Amino acid sequence: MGYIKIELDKVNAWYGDNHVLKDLSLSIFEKSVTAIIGPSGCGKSTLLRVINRLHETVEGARVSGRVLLDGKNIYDDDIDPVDIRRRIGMIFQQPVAFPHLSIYDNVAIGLKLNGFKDKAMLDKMVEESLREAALWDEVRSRLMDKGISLSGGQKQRLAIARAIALKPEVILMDEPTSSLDPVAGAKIEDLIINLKRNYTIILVTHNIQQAARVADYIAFLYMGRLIEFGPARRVLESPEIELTEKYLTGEFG
Amino acid sequence: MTINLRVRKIKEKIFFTLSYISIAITLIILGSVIFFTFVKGINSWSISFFLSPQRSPLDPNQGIAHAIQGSLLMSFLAAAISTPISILAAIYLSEYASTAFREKAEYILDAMAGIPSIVVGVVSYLLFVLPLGTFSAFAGSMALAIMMFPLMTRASQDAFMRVGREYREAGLAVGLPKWKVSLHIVLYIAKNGVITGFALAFGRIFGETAPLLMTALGSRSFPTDIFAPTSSITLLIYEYSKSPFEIWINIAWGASLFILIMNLAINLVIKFSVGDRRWVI
Ligand SMILES: Nc1ncnc2c1ncn2[C@@H]1O[C@H](COP(=O)(O)OP(=O)(O)OP(=O)(O)O)[C@@H](O)[C@H]1O
Ligand SMILES: [Mg+2]
Repeated sequence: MGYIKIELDKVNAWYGDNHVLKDLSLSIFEKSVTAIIGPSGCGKSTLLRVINRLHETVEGARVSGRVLLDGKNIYDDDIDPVDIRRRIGMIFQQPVAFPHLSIYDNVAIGLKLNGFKDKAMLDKMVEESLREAALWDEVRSRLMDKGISLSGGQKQRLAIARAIALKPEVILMDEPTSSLDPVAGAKIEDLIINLKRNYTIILVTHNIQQAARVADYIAFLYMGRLIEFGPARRVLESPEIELTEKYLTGEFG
Repeated sequence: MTINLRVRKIKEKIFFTLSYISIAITLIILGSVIFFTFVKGINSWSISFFLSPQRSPLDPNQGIAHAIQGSLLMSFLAAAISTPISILAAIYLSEYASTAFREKAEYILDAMAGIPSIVVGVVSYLLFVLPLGTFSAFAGSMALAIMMFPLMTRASQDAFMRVGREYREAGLAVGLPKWKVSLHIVLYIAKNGVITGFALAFGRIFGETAPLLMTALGSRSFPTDIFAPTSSITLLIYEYSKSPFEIWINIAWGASLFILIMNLAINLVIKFSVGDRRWVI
């Protein structure tokens, strides 16, 4: 099956008294796409946010258990969450373009504000990131325009370029196509398939067809628990758990 | 038509008329303030009015230049002191404080903004005049800074809190420490709100008299030392308007017109620089 990039070990997460993730253990394999599926409110986004330590930035939110990145627990005391977030990028449901920044700076912000100064090198990395995000040809002639001048799908690819610019090892995507039209969504799906050559990707999606198209592994969550996990085809074609089958056949969700 | 319906229509009409009269009265009063200030003040405007300091009450070639300089000196010094502190305090409240602490702080700041300015003057007298042994532009600036602080802090905090959480999270997600997210993302996105807050607070202190009476005292010459008594436009108006000299009384009207126009100008500058559709008064 390959190298385990991330391993969750009995992870629990809370918002105040609301116990959202329950004893969740899961392995994420390197350079593959793992889709997280499950009904609304089952904890998919929370799971992603636990993996890049964004969960704890919400007032009253807590985590227990271990999340191993290359075998090292990212919740150990000697770990700075800021370093983790440089190694694990994240794409959100609503594409974010910083309204005060140009297209160029929207990509460069992570590098620039982390102290990267060399202008020629920066230009090169911005271009590479935009190429990798399949946006370069559309924006090369207007890099200094405001990032918010882009369309929704372009903004999402801009956000992907911003994440890639930091050369992360893992990219978390929280329903990256759900706010886009089908054409723009399809472009992102193609992109995800290309990106998994270089990155480990965890994709939260509501869309089972999307999971079938891009995922190598599927994890099905229900009410904060991991119900089933396995290679995508196996889970989709012959789920071992009845609950998974019910979800896949649309009996609830 | 039933009797009920007729009664309701009459009530509606009365209510409408009353509110119409009220707004008319308000506008008439406001209009006459501006009109009288203009008619009475514009005659004293001249080159020497803007370029000369105070002279003997019978000398027609005198002006308010020393007071304009004093006002600008103290207002800008107050702004320079209070702006960075306000912005940092606002960042703390919106980005770092717990909800419980933030609500208490908001309550205190709102109460502070409502303290009568004469009280700020008395407190500043105790804090900055007595220990230094002299009235001064410095003490005046501190009094104005104290007035500006809660206004600007609350306005900036509101502006920060209107910035969507998604921008903060997108910043954190590219490995920026929280303080950089606050300074390079939240502050920039909220920039217009902060500028509006600044301009409102600045306009407010620019027209203050009471805190300066107890701290800057007033002076007849150009400011040269921030640790010496200093004039301001409002102090000059206060002094001249009580004087028996016609020239001084006219100058007081001219100075009033000047302050009025300054305040209108500040509001217009906000309106246009921010591209805001609101009329800020
Ligand atoms: N910021 C928050 N504060 C309090 N509770 C929250 C917060 N975010 C999520 N929750 C709660 O945690 C639970 C899981 O939410 P989460 O967003 O992880 O679900 P999800 O599977 O991503 O749902 P969806 O498919 O609708 O995005 C829900 O019950 C939700 O109400
Ligand atoms: Mg979600």
